[in-house]
Amino acid sequence: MQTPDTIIIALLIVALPLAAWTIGFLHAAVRRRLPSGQDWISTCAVGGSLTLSLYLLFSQVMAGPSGMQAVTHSWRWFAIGSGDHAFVLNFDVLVDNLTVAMFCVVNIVAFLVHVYSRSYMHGEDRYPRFFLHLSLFTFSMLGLLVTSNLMMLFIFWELVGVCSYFLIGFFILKKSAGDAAKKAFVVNRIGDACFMAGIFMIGGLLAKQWPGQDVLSFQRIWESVAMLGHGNGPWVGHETEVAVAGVLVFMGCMTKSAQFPLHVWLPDAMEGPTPVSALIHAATMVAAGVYMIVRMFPLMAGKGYVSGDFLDSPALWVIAIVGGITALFSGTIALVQTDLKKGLAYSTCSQLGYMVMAVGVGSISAGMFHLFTHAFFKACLFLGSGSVIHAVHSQEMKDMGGLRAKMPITYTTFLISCLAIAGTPLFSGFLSKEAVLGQAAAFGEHHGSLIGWVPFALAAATAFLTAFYMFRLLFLTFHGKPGNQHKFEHAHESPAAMSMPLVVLAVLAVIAGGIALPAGLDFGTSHWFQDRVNDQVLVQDTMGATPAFAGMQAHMVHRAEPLPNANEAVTSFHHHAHHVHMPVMLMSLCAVVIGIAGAWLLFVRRRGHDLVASIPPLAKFRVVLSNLYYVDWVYCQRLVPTVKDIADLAKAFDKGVIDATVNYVARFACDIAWFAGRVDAIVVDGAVNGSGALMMGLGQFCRSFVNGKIQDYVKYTVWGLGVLMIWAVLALG
Amino acid sequence: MLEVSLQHYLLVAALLFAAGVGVIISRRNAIAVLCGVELILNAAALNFVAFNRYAAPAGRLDGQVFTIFIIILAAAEAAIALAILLNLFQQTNTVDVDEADTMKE
Repeated sequence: MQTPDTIIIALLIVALPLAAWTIGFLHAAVRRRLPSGQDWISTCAVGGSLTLSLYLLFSQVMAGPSGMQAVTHSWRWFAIGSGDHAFVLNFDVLVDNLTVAMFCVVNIVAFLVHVYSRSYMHGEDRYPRFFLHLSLFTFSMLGLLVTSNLMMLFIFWELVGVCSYFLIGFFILKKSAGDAAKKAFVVNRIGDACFMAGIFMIGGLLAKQWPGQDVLSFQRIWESVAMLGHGNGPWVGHETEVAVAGVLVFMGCMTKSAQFPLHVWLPDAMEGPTPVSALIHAATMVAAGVYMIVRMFPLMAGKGYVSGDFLDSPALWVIAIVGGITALFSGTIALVQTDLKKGLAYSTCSQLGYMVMAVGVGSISAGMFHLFTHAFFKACLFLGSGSVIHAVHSQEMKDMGGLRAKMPITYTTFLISCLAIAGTPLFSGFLSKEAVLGQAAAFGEHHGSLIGWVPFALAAATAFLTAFYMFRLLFLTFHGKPGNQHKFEHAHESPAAMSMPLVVLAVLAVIAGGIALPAGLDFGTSHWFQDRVNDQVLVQDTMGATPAFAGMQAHMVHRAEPLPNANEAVTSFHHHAHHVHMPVMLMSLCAVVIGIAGAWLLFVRRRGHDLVASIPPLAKFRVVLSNLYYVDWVYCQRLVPTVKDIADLAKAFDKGVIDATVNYVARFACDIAWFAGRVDAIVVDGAVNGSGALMMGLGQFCRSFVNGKIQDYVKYTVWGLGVLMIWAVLALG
Repeated sequence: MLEVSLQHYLLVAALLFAAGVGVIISRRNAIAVLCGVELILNAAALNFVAFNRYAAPAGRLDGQVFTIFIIILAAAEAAIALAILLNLFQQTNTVDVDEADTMKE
């Protein structure tokens, strides 16, 4: 296939949902209402996108041993200013293995959610509008994937954010939904502000090297990192700024992907309709943060990126620790949730922490792999929970229980997804989770000190928790006795439009892991997915003949042997990775077995016996967990009042100092003006009027002599004569 | 016996002139003012005659001639002035010079 064709198809994939949105929007603009067939329009559009994505996948990515050759294109959008000071923004497009794979995931989930929603949302108010928002969201998400310019990515990033806002608050008459939407939006502003600051820092540093050019494309950023590795380029001497910019950019990921401590919006986002939770707040949008740091991985890795010796990069450390903490932290909260969807939401946070940590410990393949498998089984879990909620009209698990018999399809798919997310062998989650854990363990082994094992310890503890809390959700919902007899009797299996997407996703939850299986059954030499999504394919091959990338060392730990040109750092890491591989796998298996068994013991065998309450420290810990570690409490009771106090202080300062100064200056100016006015009135006008009056008086005086009386004239003549005579006598005499 | 000299003539003429001016200034009746003018003219005529008698070379009569002119002039002037007065009286019904102050306009 020719390069332009690939680009055109990719843009078509992005444009189809936009077209569906535009049709609805124009219809609404002209006819004052949305088209009643908006659901069909949106579903067909995303179906078309899905077909094209799968076509690209099979015709391009499946082709070569390392997938497709990346194709890029760039359109000038606008330039502000001219010459060396211009700010240039291009619409850069990059289509590579990762883009196509993400296209497939997003479109599969989006398509299934569209199909599911036609049944789930049936009869709701504003039903067409729901699909309008879904279309806009799908377009924004696909646009985010196709662009390779940080600023364009940010624009789409904000677009998905606003769609998330619309959809969380979709039930506009519920106050809690409106509040949750606002919370999501406000919390995301924090990360977005940092993200933007990071973008500006990057742009500012790069503009010195390439003045007046488009500096925010991925290629420029990657090239700068590579040049830094060789000791030249725009970032030499600015390593600290680069690390800070990396962390700032990661802050954007922290809010979008709900990382601790900015995760607080995601559980609240469950106020939105359940299909939205599945599509946006589990499978795709929240994964955008992970996708973004994968694309920005060279920036995070910094100087050591080209030489492959980047595992001590400060930005990566931040990412690894934040991801690990989030994974464990959210996993523990998920243990005590009584709301089915909130339990899943914290599970999502926890799994996102896994992905982020995987990137932090240096493996974008593992992070992306887990993102893909997670998208399927988590979407399946959410849609399954939607199916349950549809049946019992409640989200509380105390109203559920024993639904296994009533809803066999939902139960089976939910079980498969639980097994997958727990990391049971033969399910996709096993392979992806094992890839993450293996990388974390290799990181610890390679680092050689206790602190290097922290990410692995967090991840391993989370692996156990995941199995435990997921099966707790499963058992409480589908096993045991019905919690609410009335609701149980009215429960029934959902219609095919809702159960079919579940089946498809469950199948994918099983087989999606297959993409990482060794190709051709030659274990340990090549893996289909990791061969296509890794440092070398994503960055080096895209950059082609750029000299800075010559001799780049790629971390490809999934291979039995390191690449022939590998240097010592990479070989050593490779060695460690294989060293820890088997113990980690066994350990993760143990964690799964213990987790599931524990859940079975507590919530099936001994159901109704509150074991935790009988152990005081655990009971206390449960209170802490029920209060979500008091994070929201701290935000609402401590942080927000503090911010308000600061705002009040600032206001007082504004009024007392700045306004007062301004007012004082104004008053002073008024006084001066008054004084000047008086001077004008008295002195200047006085002089003018005075001289006028003087002249007038003089004129009056002179006039008085000319009174028309001839005798007076004679009198003056005589006086004058007299004066002349006196003068004559005095002067001449 | 007192010799009548030029100074005596000049003194009388000056007195006449002063009387004329005084009349012109002080009297309100326009006819009286005309009389004052006649007095001044006569004072001037007297000066001419006196200077001709004492200061002119013998045989010259320039002063007398001037005096004749002054008398003729005074007659003409009186005629014109009385005509003006007549008109003034017809306009204002008075011959009071204080009332006739339209010259200032």
